Amino acid sequence: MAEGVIFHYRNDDNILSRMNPNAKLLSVLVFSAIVSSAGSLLVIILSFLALMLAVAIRLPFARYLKESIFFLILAGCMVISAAVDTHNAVFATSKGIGFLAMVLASMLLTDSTMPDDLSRSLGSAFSHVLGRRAYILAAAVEITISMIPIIVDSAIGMFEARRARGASFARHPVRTISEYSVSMVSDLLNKAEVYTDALYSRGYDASARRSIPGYSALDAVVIIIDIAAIISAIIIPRIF
Amino acid sequence: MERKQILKIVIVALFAALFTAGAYIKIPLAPVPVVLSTLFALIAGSCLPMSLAVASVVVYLFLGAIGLPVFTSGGGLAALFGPTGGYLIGLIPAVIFGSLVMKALEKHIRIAALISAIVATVFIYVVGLPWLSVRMGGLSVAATLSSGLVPFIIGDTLKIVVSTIIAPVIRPRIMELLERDE
Repeated sequence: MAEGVIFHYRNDDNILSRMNPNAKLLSVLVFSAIVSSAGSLLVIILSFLALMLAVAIRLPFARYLKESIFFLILAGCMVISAAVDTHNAVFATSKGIGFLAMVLASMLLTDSTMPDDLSRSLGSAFSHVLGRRAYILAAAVEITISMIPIIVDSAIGMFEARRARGASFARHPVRTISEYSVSMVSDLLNKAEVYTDALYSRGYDASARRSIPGYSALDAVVIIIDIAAIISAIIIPRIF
Repeated sequence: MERKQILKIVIVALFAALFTAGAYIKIPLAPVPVVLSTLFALIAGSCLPMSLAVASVVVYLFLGAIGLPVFTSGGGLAALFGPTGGYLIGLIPAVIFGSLVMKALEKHIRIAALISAIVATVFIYVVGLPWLSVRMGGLSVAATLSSGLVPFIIGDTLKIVVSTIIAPVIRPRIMELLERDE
């Protein structure tokens, strides 16, 4: 159950799913940086472009809607706060739209990218700076990703089992949460030993290089555009 | 690779997964539901060596930054750099100073666990509250405290108490696990 809730990757053949994970992540970072600091008109234009891309790849908006309620409320609060502060409705609205555009950009990334591919690609990219440590970090991310569904299902299962046995979090919160947390962490430490022995017996080496998706001409074009965009975003305000 | 190194990586990964699990568990208490991801971060700060505690938080924040909905508020850069992102970034100094307190006062583990949990909680708010004020367009101190601190006092007090109870039970077990291969 947790896997369906947490992992949004959709196995589809579209322009984003064919791109290298690093190129996409760089685009999301550049997009977010520009949207968070740009003027109202540019924010609205960029947000519209992101929305068009989401429509083009048929992003399942209905699936994301429930998770996005918190972001919608937060965006509303940002709009109200900015409107009260600046008395400028256009500026305030662009703040909210820009925030939601950043949320949409992240959705486009997770919809089109397998988490394993992304962590491995990043490990490879950061290895030029961090050396072996980058691969170890990527390995930790990969193991976490593989364990999240198991841990979340186990946590929810224990929680529901305690409630079914009459544990009252409201009446005895300290005792109930303490017992629950000790059970969770103890279970986790037992799993840690089992996983460690399994990986060790297979000769697992977290610092070893792993195969990563290659870069295409499209990735190169996107990376060049990202670099040009961020340089323009820095230089243009200083000139004008 | 040595078994101990693999064990450390697995512990980091499992704690990062535990923070994610905590984000999905909401204890129904007034005035706002208590989410357990911060509790597990307090436990990480008081039970793990500092390097592993920090690494587990970094992995957790990284997963959220790349868009996985591992935070209470979801995932993505918007969640991490949005108004409530300060509470997430604040987890890093929280586990660092929580760990330092535990190491300094380890001989008096119960007192150390209490002070560690309090210090860690304070650091979450030291980062989270100014961040919230700035990202919401410059909220006043009163508005920031009333929206970003007051509703969570009961829940955070509960988490400090629980962390103080749990740490003396869990920490020796983790240390024994890590020292076994030496």
